[in-house]
Amino acid sequence: MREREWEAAHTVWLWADLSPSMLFRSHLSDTVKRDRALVLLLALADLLAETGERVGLPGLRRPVADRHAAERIAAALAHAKDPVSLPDGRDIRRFSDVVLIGDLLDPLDETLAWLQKVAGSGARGHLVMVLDPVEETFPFAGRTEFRDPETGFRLTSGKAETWREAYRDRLEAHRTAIGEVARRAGWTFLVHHTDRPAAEAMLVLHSRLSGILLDDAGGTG
Amino acid sequence: MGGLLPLGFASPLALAGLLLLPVIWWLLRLLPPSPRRVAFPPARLLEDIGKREETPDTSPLWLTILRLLLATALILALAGPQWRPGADAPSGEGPLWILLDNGWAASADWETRRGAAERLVASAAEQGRPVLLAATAEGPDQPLVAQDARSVVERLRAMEPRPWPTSRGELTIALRKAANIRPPGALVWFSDDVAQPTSARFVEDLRSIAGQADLVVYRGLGHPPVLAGARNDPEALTASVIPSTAAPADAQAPRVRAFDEKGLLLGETVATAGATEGLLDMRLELPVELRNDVARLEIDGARSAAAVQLLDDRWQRRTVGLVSGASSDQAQPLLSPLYYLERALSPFAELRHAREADVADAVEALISQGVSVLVMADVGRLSEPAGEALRRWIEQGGVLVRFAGPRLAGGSDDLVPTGCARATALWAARCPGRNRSRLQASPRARPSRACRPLRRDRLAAGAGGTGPRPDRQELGPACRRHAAGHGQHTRAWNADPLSCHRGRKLVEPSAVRHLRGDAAPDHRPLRDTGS
Repeated sequence: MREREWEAAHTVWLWADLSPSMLFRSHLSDTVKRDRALVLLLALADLLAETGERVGLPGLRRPVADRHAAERIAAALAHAKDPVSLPDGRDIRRFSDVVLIGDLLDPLDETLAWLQKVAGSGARGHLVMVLDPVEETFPFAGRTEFRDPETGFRLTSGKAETWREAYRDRLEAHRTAIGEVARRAGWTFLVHHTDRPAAEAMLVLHSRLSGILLDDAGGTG
Repeated sequence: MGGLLPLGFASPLALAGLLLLPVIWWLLRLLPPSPRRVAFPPARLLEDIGKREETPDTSPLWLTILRLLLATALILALAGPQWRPGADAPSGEGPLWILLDNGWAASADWETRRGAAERLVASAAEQGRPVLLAATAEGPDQPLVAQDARSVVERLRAMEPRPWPTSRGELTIALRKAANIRPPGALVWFSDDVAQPTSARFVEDLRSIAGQADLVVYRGLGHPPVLAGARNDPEALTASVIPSTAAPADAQAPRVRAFDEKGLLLGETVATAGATEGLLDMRLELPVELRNDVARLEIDGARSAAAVQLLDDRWQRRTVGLVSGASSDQAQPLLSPLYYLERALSPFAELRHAREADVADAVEALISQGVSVLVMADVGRLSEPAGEALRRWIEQGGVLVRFAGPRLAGGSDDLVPTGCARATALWAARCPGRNRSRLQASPRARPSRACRPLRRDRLAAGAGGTGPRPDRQELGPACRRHAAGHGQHTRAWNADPLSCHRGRKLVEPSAVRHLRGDAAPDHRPLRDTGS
């Protein structure tokens, strides 16, 4: 208990993936993934700043206690160049918390390497995977060309509906791999869909930051 | 062409494109449709799935069939389908002759006729045949040589139906000359179906001109409604309407409208079936003053020269005032000086009788009614105001006709060729027998001839020395002077039935026709007779 109280004044590093792959919205959703990630990030920053935590952006803003942290973070993000999906983890030290919000759709090796590196520094982390409903359900049929907005990768499917099962399995495996590594490092992993209210993810995230594990798998909301 | 359907093609070779359909089918089945492009951030997750399965999708069957149908429709449209291709140019070597009736009867279906002729010319243009185009209402003054079909099309488009009838006969000689220079390969005549006395002859001529070549006569389009025989009868304006042959049997009866010179509508009536089979009668009952204003009769809705009749002065009913010196309530109406005048004039003019007993009052009243002609039968000397009013009226264009009789012989004024009239009356009174025999022998005796013997041998012989013998030299200039002095409007005719029992002959229609405007050529003014 004593240790926790001491840690309460610790640093929280926030990061939202603003790469082009997050600039996506399907017909099933009202919100772009990036906007949802920013909303979560700023709300969290505001919440933490209210309680006197030091909130920082790795590589962009040093963690300082500031009542207007959310505003400053927004300004810093607005001026950030070349958005990257995974932040530079050099400044992250022991006893700090890391909240990473993004779609985590980069190649699994890169994500896992970053995760293991940051976890190796001793920081605790919380991963929030923001996905569009389309990315979950894969409602395509017929001859379809898929294009990755981030890398420009193209792939044409003759009958997209036959790929549905395989894709779901593939996505599930991807998620499971990340979740497994995160669990082993003591991190939490949360999946959030943009057709759901942001408050759901916010609630789960807040409780996890507070150390209360509501439900390990309950973050899929 | 043809077969089961009356369908022809302008360029049948394009139908060969239908052979391409199996190729199109094969291509459509072989080539996949273009893919739907979607942005999908987790596309990289699909990479190894894509390697597993590469089956290309094919177009759905209904889409393929729809595309084949589209291709078929396109090929058929390129072949230029024509429903009932009637205007197939007759085959044959040499120029194609097209004779087009463009008289009034062709106006109703002119576009149809010209369209058919244009198709003929177009097909001739495709075959490279020269075309000779002749319009039968244009007369022989047109280029009757075979020309390039493209320039003929331009002439054909500039052509329009004429408001006059065709004159095919005039063309025959010129056509023969053209045929001698270059005989026709085929001959097509677009007839307007209006039979003329020379129609049969024209067909014979065409047949002989055509010789061995084909002769095709297109007919059956009919003529527009025709308005004819307008007459201004005493009661109404009447005319006959020949209904259009092209109109259906249950079509509405044609309406005839009457307009004045400014184009204002004066009256409208429906033509009804008349006494003659196939003819409709039109009857427009209007007051005579309005009827005289009608300048144009036309059948409503018919755009044709045949449906219009222009009315001029010949259709006007002039008003004629009648004044007699005798009292009006005569016991023997047959002996009234006006009896035969009324009978002669009433078919052609409106008669106005003076109600006033006094001649001067009657003249004033009739002039104020606006009569065109005033006829005085045996009125003696006019009073001074009446004479003055008459003179003014004559100078303004009125026509005064005076008939002689006992009263005029007794004494007259200066509105009469004095010498002539008095001498006539005297001579008629003194030698009635000679006068009668002369009039009997010449049923076409005219006032001018009645006057002539007075100046020549007959007067000298018949007078017998007892009466005054007006000298020829004296009388001639006297007649001339009076005639010239009153603007040719005063005539003195010996028409009194009392003095001459054959007097009515003198007012026969040849003389009265002058009132209607078409003066008989032999009815000369007095001045010419005297010279």
